[in-house]
Amino acid sequence: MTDRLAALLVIIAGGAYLAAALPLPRGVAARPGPGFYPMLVGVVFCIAGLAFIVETFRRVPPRASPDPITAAARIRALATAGTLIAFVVVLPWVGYVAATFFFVAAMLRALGGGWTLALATAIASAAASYWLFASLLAVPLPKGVFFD
Amino acid sequence: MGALEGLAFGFGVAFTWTNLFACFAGVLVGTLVGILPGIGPVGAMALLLPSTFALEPATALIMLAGIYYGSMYGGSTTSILVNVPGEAASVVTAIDGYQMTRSGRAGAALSVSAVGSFLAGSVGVVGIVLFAAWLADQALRFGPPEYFAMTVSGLLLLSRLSGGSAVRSLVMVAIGLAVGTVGMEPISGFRRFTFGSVQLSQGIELVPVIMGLYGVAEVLAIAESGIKKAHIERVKLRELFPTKREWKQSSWPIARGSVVGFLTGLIPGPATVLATFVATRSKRRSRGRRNGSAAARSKASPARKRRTTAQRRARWSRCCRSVFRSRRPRRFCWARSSSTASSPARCSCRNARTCSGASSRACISATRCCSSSTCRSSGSSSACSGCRNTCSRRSCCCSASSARTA
Repeated sequence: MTDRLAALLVIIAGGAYLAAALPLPRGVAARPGPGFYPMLVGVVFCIAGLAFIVETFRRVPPRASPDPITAAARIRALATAGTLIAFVVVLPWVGYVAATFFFVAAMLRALGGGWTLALATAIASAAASYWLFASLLAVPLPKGVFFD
Repeated sequence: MGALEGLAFGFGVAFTWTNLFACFAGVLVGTLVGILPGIGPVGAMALLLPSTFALEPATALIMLAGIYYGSMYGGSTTSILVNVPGEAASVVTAIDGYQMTRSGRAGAALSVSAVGSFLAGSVGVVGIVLFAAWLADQALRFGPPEYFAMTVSGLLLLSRLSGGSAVRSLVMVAIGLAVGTVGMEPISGFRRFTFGSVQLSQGIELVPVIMGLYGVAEVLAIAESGIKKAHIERVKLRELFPTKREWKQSSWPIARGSVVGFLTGLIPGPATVLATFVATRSKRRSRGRRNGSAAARSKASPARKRRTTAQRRARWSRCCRSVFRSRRPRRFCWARSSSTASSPARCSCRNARTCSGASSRACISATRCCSSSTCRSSGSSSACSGCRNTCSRRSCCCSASSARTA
């Protein structure tokens, strides 16, 4: 069932890609325009999606096996994904140091670490990575809107 | 001055204490910087270029070469230890290297990788010295048709690299190609799929994609199993030395990889990544039935083939006997033997029921997934998360725990 859902998503994505690729100027095969190659890729994308969904129907459905993913594990994984997305969204606003601090602390808490461990690691990793990348290697890290 | 005299003179310059120390310092710093994700050899050289300004030109060049090779090696360290390749060329190192880490051979993997890099690099240098003029002629003959053929063969190699279903590989290839079209079109400068974003018009680079795919996947896997179970393998100093068997197993792949890498690397253009894929693919091919995944292993040796044939025969006869006694259909026979056979690395997935109904060809690759160290590191069911998709958890674990003894 998960496979079929994934195949469906692939087909939708392929269709969307093809729909976005078709309006681009295609040119002719002898002088291909910028839309020529994306059109080919889009067609391959859709064919791949269709082949995928056909394959899911050809396979014998698996025997029902006990699912070892517990609810807690699922929540942990989702919380991690959420924290990662939040980090990306928040980064330009609060800047690298603050975002990293909150990110590491939240991650460790979500994974089941204690408060002391979480805060200490968060401070250490934010400071160390800022020192390494910003000071030593001069990588321009986002400062955040509050510190400009 | 002929080529060889020039070479001898070069060695004379290189083998002074100052230059050797510069080389050592370059390799050391390069390795440290190369471990940082996203900083490849070129980035590391650009970052450390100012540090060479105070040196003699020859010394500075030697140091930069050291930085280059060091950061190249540093990239493979993270892929071996934490399954996060720092750059494109070390993606395939992660496939097998991380499996070795999971089975407790991280040190050996690091050593094999270092020795292999050194030997292959030396072979490349010697080859260039001997055949440079002729090879340059050949390389210049590379035109658009050849590049197209290269790209297509690269994609084909890539899609069959990981085993598993061909259709899924095709889907992955299609997604990769689609992601690759984002950004400025190289010929006309037309902006494709940028949606008005300046950042997207630069295109989506390979390194963030790799970091996201491998790094985030690894983080999520750790999150699922919880922080208590997850631990990074410690590498003890004495474990850095591979066993005699591992040396033996990895010597042929290293030799083959050197030659393949040298030949592929001659082609102008982004051949580094392709070379690694070609070499890995050739290693896989020579492995015959793809059933193991540890890097320091090439199962093509005749002894091994003989042994597996004998095992298969024994299993088959045991199977037939049980069929004869209980009059079970043959298909079920495979299921029986999977639970009783002494080395079920191939057997457990043969039967359609444990392998979610895949055909036997897909089964072999599923077994490969199963018997690999995703499961080998621990017998608990939670360790099986790697092969959930192709193989049911149960068969996965059963083959894993017995694969450990096999």
